[in-house]
Amino acid sequence: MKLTHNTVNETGLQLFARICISISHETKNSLAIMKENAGLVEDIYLMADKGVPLDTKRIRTIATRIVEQIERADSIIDTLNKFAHSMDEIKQRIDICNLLALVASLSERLFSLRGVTLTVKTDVKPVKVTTNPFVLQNLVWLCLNFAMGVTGEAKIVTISAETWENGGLIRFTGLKELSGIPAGRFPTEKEKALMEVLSAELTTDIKYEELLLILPDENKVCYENEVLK
Amino acid sequence: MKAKILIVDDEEKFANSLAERLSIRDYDAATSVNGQDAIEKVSYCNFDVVMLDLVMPGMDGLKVLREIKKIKPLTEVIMLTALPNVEIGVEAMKRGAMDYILKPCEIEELISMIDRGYARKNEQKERIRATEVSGR
Repeated sequence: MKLTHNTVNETGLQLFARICISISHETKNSLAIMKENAGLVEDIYLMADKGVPLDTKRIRTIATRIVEQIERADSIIDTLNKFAHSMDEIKQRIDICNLLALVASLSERLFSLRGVTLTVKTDVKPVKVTTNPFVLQNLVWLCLNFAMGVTGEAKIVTISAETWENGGLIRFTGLKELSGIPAGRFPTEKEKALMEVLSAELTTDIKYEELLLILPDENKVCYENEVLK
Repeated sequence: MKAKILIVDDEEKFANSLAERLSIRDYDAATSVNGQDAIEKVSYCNFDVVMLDLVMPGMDGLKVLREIKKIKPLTEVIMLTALPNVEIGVEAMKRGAMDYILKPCEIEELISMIDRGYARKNEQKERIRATEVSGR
């Protein structure tokens, strides 16, 4: 049991660190664009001081670019804020669809760097479960990392959620090379530890090229008392 | 004459804005949003200095650097990065990058690096020419 707890804590910290790296990188990029555009306005005014007519249309375009980047940075920070709030309470009543949208947003850059497109199917009804959202985010993140490596040439992963018996089901589809994965390679000890905390099950369906994560409702958050006290 | 520059960054708006600022200062600046396109441009166009983003989808900056140095060894490469990572910076210098700069950057600092790179490239060219002449 201790091994499971250590793995869960370690995996959580790793996810937190990777998200921080990704978010800070993206925010820096956004700030760099703002800085260059603010510098451009400065350049244009310096030229105007030397007698070059002031191009107001150009200034308006630059202002629009800066506003776009402010909105982008604002959205990045909102995502980080939502992610941080997932630790407010260990056990929460959540809509899995919202959680998937958040993880997708957090993973966007990682997917883009690996040339994979991630799609979240949002045209579904809310799928509510009581669970540990942070651990679930971790598990979804690890499943996505695995999924990214088995998309084949299509390089598209789709995630969706649906109600399943007494809980919820998350589908990771588009895993074209799932059949080539040797038995025992996935799930690893990390995923297994998180599954244990969530009382979740992970199965693969080679025929439909998908990974299924089944979650119970009102799960036992078994490490709440032992680890976080 | 001023340096001919290629800015390689998957953040297209960053590359375009920087190119615009360099053009205002009479530099001839082109842009590229991925490694493959950058390598093609470098192979048919004589850029003096390439500003190269480290983290990009597909080919990352270090791979692109290696290819550029194979095709045009005299072209000076300055690595661009949004986050300080000394190890990657050192690795880039080992692979032939002239220097690296953090984004967002000061235009004066960048221009000073570009001018230094341009001067270094010209010195190298001169040295090669002198060696060829003395060898005749």
